[in-house]
Parts: sequence; C-alpha cells; structure tokens
Amino acid sequence: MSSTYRICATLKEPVRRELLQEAEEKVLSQFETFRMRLRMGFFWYYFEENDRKAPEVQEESDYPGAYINKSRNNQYMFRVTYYRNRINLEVFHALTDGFGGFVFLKELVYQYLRLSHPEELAGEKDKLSTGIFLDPEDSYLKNFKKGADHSKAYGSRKAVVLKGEMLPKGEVSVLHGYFKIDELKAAAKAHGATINQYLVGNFIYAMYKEYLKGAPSKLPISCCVPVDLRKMYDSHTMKNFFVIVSAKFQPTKEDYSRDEVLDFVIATLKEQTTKENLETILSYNVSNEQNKFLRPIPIFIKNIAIRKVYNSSADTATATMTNVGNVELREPYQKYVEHFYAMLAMSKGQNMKGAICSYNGTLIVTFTSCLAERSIQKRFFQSITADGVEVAVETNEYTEEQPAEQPVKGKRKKKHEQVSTV
Amino acid sequence: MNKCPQCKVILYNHTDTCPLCHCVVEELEPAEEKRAKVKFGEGAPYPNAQRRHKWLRFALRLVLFVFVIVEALLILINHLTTPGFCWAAITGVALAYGYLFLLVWIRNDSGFALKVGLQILFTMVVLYEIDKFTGNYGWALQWAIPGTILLGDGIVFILMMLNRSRWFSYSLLLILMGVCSLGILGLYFIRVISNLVLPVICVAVTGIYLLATVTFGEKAMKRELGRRFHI
Repeated sequence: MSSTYRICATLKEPVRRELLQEAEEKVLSQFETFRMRLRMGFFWYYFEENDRKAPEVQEESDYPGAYINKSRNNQYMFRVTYYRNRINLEVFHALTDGFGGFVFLKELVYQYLRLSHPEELAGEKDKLSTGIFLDPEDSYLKNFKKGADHSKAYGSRKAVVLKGEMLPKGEVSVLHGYFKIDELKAAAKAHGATINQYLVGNFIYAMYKEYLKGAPSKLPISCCVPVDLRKMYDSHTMKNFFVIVSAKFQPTKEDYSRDEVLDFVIATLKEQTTKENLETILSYNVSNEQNKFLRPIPIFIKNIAIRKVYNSSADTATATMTNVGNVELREPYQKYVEHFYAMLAMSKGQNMKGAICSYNGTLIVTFTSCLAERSIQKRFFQSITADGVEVAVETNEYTEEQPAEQPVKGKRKKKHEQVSTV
Repeated sequence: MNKCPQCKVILYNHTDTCPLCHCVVEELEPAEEKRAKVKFGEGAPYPNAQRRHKWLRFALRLVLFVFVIVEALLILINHLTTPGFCWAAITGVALAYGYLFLLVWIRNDSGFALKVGLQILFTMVVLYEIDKFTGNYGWALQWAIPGTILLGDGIVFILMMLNRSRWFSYSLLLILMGVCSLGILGLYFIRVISNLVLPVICVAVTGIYLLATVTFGEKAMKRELGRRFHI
C-alpha cells in the first residue's frame, strides 16, 4: 500500500541510464514543486526545499507503485526508473497529481531526447518548453469558500469491497489494455456516453457481473473518479488540485443489462460533477485544515485520528478509475515516443484500480490489482470487444522469453530449438 | 504476438495461455502481427520483480532463523551451566531488540533523526527492564541511562558534523536529549537515584551543546524551530 502513482513514457528505442540521469538533473533543477522533501513538525507535516543531489535513476526492479523510501532517495518524493524502452516516473501523491506529474515527465522526455538525439533535435532550445506553468500555489486554499455547507461532501455509506485470493504482499498485477480512440469513441457514442463514462460504466458492470455474479446487493458498487479542478477554477498549479466523485451502482434486482448499468453510472456521474457539488467537496477538503481547534493538536494525535478515519472510510469505495487525459507532445519529439500510460498503487479497501491515458490516437487503460484473479478485467475487455472495439493486452507477468540476451527456458525453448534444428 | 480466441484480445506477452481467461492462445500470422503493431505500437515488457521480493523476504527470514537458533542454544547452555540465573532471557531480549531494529531501519521510512531518537529511547527502556530483571540494583538509572544520554549527545554531534549544511535537522534530537537529561536529574530530587554526578554531567553537556547551537546557529535554529512548531 502506498500513495504513489506511476506514469510512463515508452520510447521507440532503449533508454540509456546516464542520459536519463543527466536529463533528470537538468529538469529537476527547474521544477521547484519536485525539489521538495516532506518533514514532520510538532503539529503538521510540511514541505521544505530539498537541495540534495537528484535521486539516482535506476533500472526498474520492483513492482509499480512500490513505496518510495525517502531516506534512500535523497529525501525526494519521486523516483525515475527505466526498463528497456520505458521511462517510469513514480510520484508520492502529496507532491502533485497526475497533471503535475505529466508536466514533469514530458519535460524529462524532451530533455532526454535532446541529449540522445543532439543532431536531429539541434533546432530545439535546451530549456523548458515555452508556455508551461510552474505555479506552486495552493489552489485548494485559494479557491475554497469559507462557511460553505460541506456536510454532504463525501458519503460514509459502505460499499462492496472486492475480496478474493490475494497476491503475496508487495506484489501488484498490472494489465494494460490498448484501444484506438476513434473506435472507442464510436462505441461510447452508441451507448450515449463519453469515453470516460463508458469505461467507468464497463468497469462497474464487470465488477457487478464477476464479483456480485449479477445478484442484488445491499451495498453499492462505488467507483471513485478523480476530477481535475484546474479548468473550473482557471488554475495552473503544479500542486494537487482535484476532488473525488463516486460513480455508484446498487443492484436491487437480478441481472441488470450492461446498458442499464451504464445508464445508472452516467446519471450518478452527471449528478456529481456539477459546479456546486465540486465546490462543496473542495470546501470539505480544506475545512479541517482551517479548523482553529484542530490546528494546535500534536501531529501524533492527528495521525491516530487520520488513520482511524482512513480505516473507517476504506470500505466506502470499491475501486478507483482515473483519467489523466490526452498527452500531447511537441511535433519534433512525437516520432520518438510510442506510448504514455499511468497506473495507481493500491490503497486500503481498494484491491483494484484503473487509470486511463491517451496519446497519439491510442488510449491505454491500466488496471493495477492485488487480487490473483483477473475475472473482472476479463469481463471489462470482453464487454468492450463485444462493441466491435479491438483491444491489445499486456501484463507485467515476467516471461523467460522476454530478454533477448538471456537464454530461453522451459516450454518455449523446446519450440525454438525445434525451429532452429529444422 | 498472440491472440486469445476466447476473449478476442491481442496479447503482447509471450505466454502460452491468455492472462485473462487462461485459454490457450494462437500465434498471430506475421501479416496480422505487423498490422497490430502498426495499430497499437510496440509493447513494453516488465522486469522480474518477483525475484527481488523473494530475496528480501528470504534474507529477513534467514536472520530471524539464525536468531532463534542462537537463542535456543543459549537457553540450553544457560540450563546446563547456571540453572539458577536465567541470563538467556537477557540475550533473548537483546536478540529481539536487534531484530526489531533491523526491521525498523530497513522498512521504516522515518527520518534519520527520528530513528536515532526512537532507538535511544528504546535502549533506555530495555536497559531499565534488564536492570529490574537482574535484581533491581539501580545501575540502569544511575549509570547506563545517563551514559546513553551522553552517547546520544555524541551521536547528535557526529551527525551534525557529518551533515554540516543541514545540522539544524538534528536540533529536535538534541532537545530530546535535553529533556531526558532533566528527567534523569529530576529522579535525583525525588530520591529515586542517589548519585548526582552523571545526571549533572548530562545536563551540563547537553545544556552547553544546546546553548552553543542557539548562539552560533541563531537564524537557522530559529527557522527550524519555527517550522517544526508551526501551528
């Protein structure tokens, strides 16, 4: 369990460690938001500028979203790893959200490509992209309204919790689904939904069919959907600025059809993504921090209380599905990058999470899960392929055949040996 | 690339069965594979992370196993040699203490200063308990705990010297040593301990040290305390 997310860029060429390290050092020196360390005060945690060396870029060797041990990472709250063609940026969520993470990752990729292709990109200036915002403001504090009624911001009603055989502690199952956006858009439109609503709806339908087996339930399936507030408040902050709404579906009878579930999900999402509701949630998020009576309570007592609230609210959501949006790269860099994708780490009570990211006409849905079974993911992809959308799938399962430099073992080896003998 | 005939999905992984439904997959024809790669791009495989986790788990279990074997041997030796005095319990506590702190240092992500502070406090508790267990002679409060406080002062000094640019990060640890020194001096006045020498040395050393940090590091210290105690 960690509050970390991973965003990745896969290039069309293998990543070189020393160049990525150089790129990280150059970019980090200009990103104040990432040059921070978290410290513990007597009453609050606080950020302090971190002037230590940039964290070492390492070859990926752990599961995505693994805890960032700050004491072994020069106190930074992010890490950059690579594996073959992929650059991974893992960020502790207290630092920034997906928006801020992608601003950093894009600049890291630009810088890396300028270092690895100096001739082809000679025309590009060796500096941060013009037009990006490095605003470190706390948009929550700036935009919250004092005295707003936030009693109904978050529901405390319990939701279905996905249970089953768990993977060993620390292990995470990752499953990417690659779609073409135009095919997905057509399928979503046929169901009267946006792509986001369509994917969230299918996710909830998959949970309903595979976990509840299409039976009625006393508890709803509740899927958290983070909503970026930057557009709504005209903010360009690099820090966190989002709220979470919940897509809910409570089956009260047997065998709902997929369209019925989609209709429920679309309705609950529409109902919650109104300006008034988002403002209410925003006010709630800030209210405790502003409370005069809570501020002077020592941090260790606050931590106990927060842990209690966190544990008691863990079973109010079944899963999360976040959409980090479409990533756009500047023209000369596009030909070097294959994909972008995002994934979330596990949190208490939520044993499966999804993240949506698109780039260059391809949308990637990434499921992370600590459940051994993949029946929900199977139903999700089968439902979408049934709508005529083609999908390619990739998992983080290691197969001995992967590394070209290593000897091939097992069943496949025999097959290859036979081929070569022939 | 393969294709699952059941799920109708294309698979990047080189596996014999579908990761979704476990159906045996079919290999894509070269032309079909080329089309899929043009459409979706190349996949990006993952490393074998399971191996790393297995090694970590194994290493910790090995240490635990060795500790248990050592303690079992010590209990046996204790029983055979000095059955009247159960010194193996002390070694047991020491081994458990060692294993606990190995876990804390490996797994816990608290700052260096906090880990050192907690370790010093816990060491004092363990020393006090051992004293009680071995006849309550009072050596822990009279000598060992004040000695630990002085050791703590020494550790803070070394840490500040090693990390001179951020010496103020350890100021809270120094304040903790100050509180412990006053505590141990207080025990003299409520007649729990009779020897005044070491408590006075503790208060004097820590006090002078604190005074020096406040005097010479005025702004840095003020800023550090301001941040740490900001309400």
